[in-house]
Amino acid sequence: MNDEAVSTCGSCKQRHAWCETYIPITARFGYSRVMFDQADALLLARIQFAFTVSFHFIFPAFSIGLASYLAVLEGLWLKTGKPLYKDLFKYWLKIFAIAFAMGVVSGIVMSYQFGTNWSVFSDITGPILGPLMAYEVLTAFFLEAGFLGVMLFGMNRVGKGLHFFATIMVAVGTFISAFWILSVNSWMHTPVGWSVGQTGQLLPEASWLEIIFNPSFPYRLVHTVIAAYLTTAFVVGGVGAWHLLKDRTNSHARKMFSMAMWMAAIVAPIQIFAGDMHGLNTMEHQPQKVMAMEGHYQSHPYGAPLYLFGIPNDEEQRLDYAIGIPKLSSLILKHELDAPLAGLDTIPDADQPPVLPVFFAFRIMVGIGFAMLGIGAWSLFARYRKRLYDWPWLHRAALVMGPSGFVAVIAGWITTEVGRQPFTVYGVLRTAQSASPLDAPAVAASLIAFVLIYFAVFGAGTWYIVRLMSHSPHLGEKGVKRSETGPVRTAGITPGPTQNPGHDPDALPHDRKEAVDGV
Amino acid sequence: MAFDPLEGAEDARGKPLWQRAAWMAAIWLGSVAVLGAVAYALRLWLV
Repeated sequence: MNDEAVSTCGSCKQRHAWCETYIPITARFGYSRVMFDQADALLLARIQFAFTVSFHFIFPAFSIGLASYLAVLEGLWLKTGKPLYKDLFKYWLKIFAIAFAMGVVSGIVMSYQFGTNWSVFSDITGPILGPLMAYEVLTAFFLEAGFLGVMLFGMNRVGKGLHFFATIMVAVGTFISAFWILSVNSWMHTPVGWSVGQTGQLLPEASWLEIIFNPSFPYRLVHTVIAAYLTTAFVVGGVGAWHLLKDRTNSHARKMFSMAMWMAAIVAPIQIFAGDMHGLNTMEHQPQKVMAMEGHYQSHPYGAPLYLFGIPNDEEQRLDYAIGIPKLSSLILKHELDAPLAGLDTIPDADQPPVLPVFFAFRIMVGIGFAMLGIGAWSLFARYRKRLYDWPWLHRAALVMGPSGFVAVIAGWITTEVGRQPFTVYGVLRTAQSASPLDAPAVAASLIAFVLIYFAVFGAGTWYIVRLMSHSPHLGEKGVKRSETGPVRTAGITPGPTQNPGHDPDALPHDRKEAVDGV
Repeated sequence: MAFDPLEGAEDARGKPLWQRAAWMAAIWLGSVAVLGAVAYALRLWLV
């Protein structure tokens, strides 16, 4: 700590070690005083960003994995010629299109919000983050959105080969898009390769590669992309399980459930390993975030406990009602039972993140990760016993776990983003110094508009996705047999009475029961 | 009319590559333009 710098810092009135940086930045804009006078506007801007990013994150977390799943399905269809893969592709493509549209639209709103509510942040970090975010937007436009049109409407114009190429481009585009935006986000956590220009802006130094591949980026990219794949796998598995519970002979449901459970069994352990590596990287570069995750208010010189539960009390700087396993945290983080671990008592108050949301969000994420591991192991056992499609309790568990990936990614997001507080750019730029000089009523009005419109538009979209999922994967396949044991039609252009007894001959039954019973 | 994205591949069979590639470019451009219009509309609303 530079005591002289602290004593001369009249701009933000807080103790920190980077006053030499802060003073020119904040003095240039003259905003820091305004920020502290308008704490309510800052809080509202933070709530607005948290609200919109939480909504947004749900959709790419789903579409990144689903785009790859679609590419696999179309590839398998082209390779094997089996209509089952084609049916599954068609089934999930409609869902993907809606999720993708909502993801892109909510993402565009996020981009604009950097200018409306976080203009000081955008101005100061723009020379570094601007180009990287531009690459992300260009990827979203020119790879994902452009080729999605070909995927949806191009088959009869471009043929199978080019259509498959378009599907792969969409899958690759979602990954490249994630690459750029996670590079941006990681740089905010571990900023490197910058210097302060005469205008107070953060300027790139010699190496852009150092900025792009900043220290936390590889870990965050792997952990987040795997999370997206797992999220998709559990949604697909949940939908498959739902239809298996209704009809365990449904071959489409069997296939999607089987593919999803392979993903769960193979990828969930990899994700836990990747998460551990990410955590170790965080401890190296952002120790106070790990202290908050662990609930370590006090330093532990002779081995730190792993707290399973507790109520963080920031005011008293202690974990109330703590239940912990002695020395286990040292073993996990330092691979040694008696290794010392520093606590938040070594961090100035002004630089500590709020512990409560980080502490609980981390436990929710980890808990779901281990539940996913359990489902994967259960499915392997069922597969070994040749009962993968016959155990209703496994299907019920998979159904319950269907949306768990969304909860996990939001919890993980809260862990890492709230854990970075009170900074937007860790150690360089404070959140309180990043917001636009807006009045609270202006931010409140736009926040209310966002809440109303998001719940209406994205609520309707999500409801429609769930409605599509509730239909059997056979939907829209006129003339194709509806299950392995269902009736096979060999001629004619209208559904036979055995397929839809007593009903409109032009309408196919909705499920096997209706097909058999006519009810 | 049912939405069926994988139907009609036989319509494109036999057509020259340049014609199919041109269709792909046109659909791609149209999709990007639609997203551009959506983004601009959002910009008008927000900024």
